[in-house]
Amino acid sequence: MSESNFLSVAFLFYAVGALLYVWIFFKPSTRIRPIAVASIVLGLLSHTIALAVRWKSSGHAPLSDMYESLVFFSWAFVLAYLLIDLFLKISRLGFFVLLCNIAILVYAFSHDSTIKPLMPALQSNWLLLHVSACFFSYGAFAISFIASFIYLMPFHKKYFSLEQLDQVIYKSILFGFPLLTFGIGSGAIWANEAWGTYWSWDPKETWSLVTWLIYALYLHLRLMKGWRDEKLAWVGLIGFLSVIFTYIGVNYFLAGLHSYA
Amino acid sequence: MAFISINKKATSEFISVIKNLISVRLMVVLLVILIPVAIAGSLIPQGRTYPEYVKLFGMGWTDILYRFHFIAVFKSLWFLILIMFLGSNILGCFLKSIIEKRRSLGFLLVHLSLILLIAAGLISSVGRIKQQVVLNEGQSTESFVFNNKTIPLGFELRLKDFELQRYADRGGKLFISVPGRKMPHEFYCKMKTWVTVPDSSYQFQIERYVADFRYDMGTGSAFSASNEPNNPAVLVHVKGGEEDYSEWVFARFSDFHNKGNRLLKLKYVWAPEIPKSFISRVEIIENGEVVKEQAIEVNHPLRYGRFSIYQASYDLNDEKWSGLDIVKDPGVGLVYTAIILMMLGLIQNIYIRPFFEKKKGR
Repeated sequence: MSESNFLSVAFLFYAVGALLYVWIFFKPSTRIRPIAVASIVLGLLSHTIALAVRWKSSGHAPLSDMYESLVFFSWAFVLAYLLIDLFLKISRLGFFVLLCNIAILVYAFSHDSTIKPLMPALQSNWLLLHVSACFFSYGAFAISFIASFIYLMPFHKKYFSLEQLDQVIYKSILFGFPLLTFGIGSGAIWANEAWGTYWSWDPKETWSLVTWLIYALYLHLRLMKGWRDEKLAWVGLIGFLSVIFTYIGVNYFLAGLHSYA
Repeated sequence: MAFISINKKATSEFISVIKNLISVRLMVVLLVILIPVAIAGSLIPQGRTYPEYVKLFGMGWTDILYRFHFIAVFKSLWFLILIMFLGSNILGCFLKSIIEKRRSLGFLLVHLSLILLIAAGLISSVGRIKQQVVLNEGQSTESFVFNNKTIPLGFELRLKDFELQRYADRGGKLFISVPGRKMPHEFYCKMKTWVTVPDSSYQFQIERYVADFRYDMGTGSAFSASNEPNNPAVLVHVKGGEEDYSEWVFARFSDFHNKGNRLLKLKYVWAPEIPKSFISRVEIIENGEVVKEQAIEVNHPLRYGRFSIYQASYDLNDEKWSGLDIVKDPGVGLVYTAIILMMLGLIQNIYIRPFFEKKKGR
């Protein structure tokens, strides 16, 4: 089977999972929860094989262009959800996560999927460390975004407790923040190895710093100032909008060293 | 009495100022200011010429941008002052935490690393040297000019040769239309590799590429008249079903190759060759003797003496010269230390400490 076949199977499992999670959203005590989780796990397994197949055929980590990064982001997003669900039991968020994930994959499929050789600047072991750390953090931040969004919606009280949503937002950001820090730090070391400049205020660098500052602000407001309300959920939401602009917006609107990403 | 009262008042005001300077509130305010400042620095093009700004923003806005140094935000004095404020605030919080002994090791490491990062940034901005030198093959240099000052390298740097390696595979794409399917399949042109065409029993491989296709009637063979892509073509070997044939597919004459009775329709879209490596082979010469030889590539700089030397640019036309960035940055070591400390601090604070606290709680 080819990479696209495995990815299609993963997509199918995610779609089935999304349907099952609609049921779980209205009836969380339902017995189909294990089936829904199994659907996601099988989807993730197939997704992992798709990434491995592409890695083997291209000879480099599948993180070198928009298509590959979107497929990897989708994988990291699902993995982050499973991990956070394991500790915080957030199955009611499952439907929203899978819906967003399907949207990410559809967006990925709209990009050129042909395998291209690596340009010289990307031929480094830092590619895997730097990019995968960033995308794992994006996956965790995406979960915090969904929880923040629901927190700010009027219907949330019927289905979620504020305390639970607050915990999901906080723990997801706490999980993603060190990964983003590592992503930025490893990027600085890599930039110094490649160009002799660890920080050049390139738009992608600047926006990743903006994202880092927003999440640092979130953590300070929560831990030091004791914020726990809607205002804090807004900070979490804005943080992820910054992630989206860092990841996609910068590529379209601002030229720089990361114009290939 | 009045003097003592004024003195007390001054002291309490001083303490109040210090308290504010090291407060979390100030840190929050500074973060809230820094975020839009950084965004502005990324959205407003930096370091352009006056006419370019006028063209982009009009005369009125350009004057405002110039007046407030928004044309070089990250080099402006007010940005430096903001960063210094942030550094002082973090330093104050850090010292306060040490004195009061009420923060974890992780907290201290993270905030120490931030202070080091700011210090490193300041050291780099003051003491950093980065200058490109252009060397022809066989040419050498013992110094370079930076900020109108000649700086000796302390050794002789000689460019033996420059090589631009390209991927053996072509940069173009091959589109294959299968009967009964609306959209053609597209493939990146990978040389000498059999590829299966989906929705069919066919396989193909690209056997040859020529940049400027010509056909020698005498010998009956194809050749390239030049390296210029005047008439790019690929020789595609197709097999499947009862067919097994090779045919030339031309980027400029897409219908020329189609023999009508073939089931698969091929189309070749040319793209420039993709560079694989830029390699500058250099020698370090001291006292007339070669003491080191190295191939400098992107991601593989040469470190010698006080300097690091990076591959930066090259001769696009003849590949006869190479541009090498000579760099000396006294802040780099501190940046690396800060990154390591920050990661250790975050891991301790966010992952390790809660784990042990949970274990203790049990």
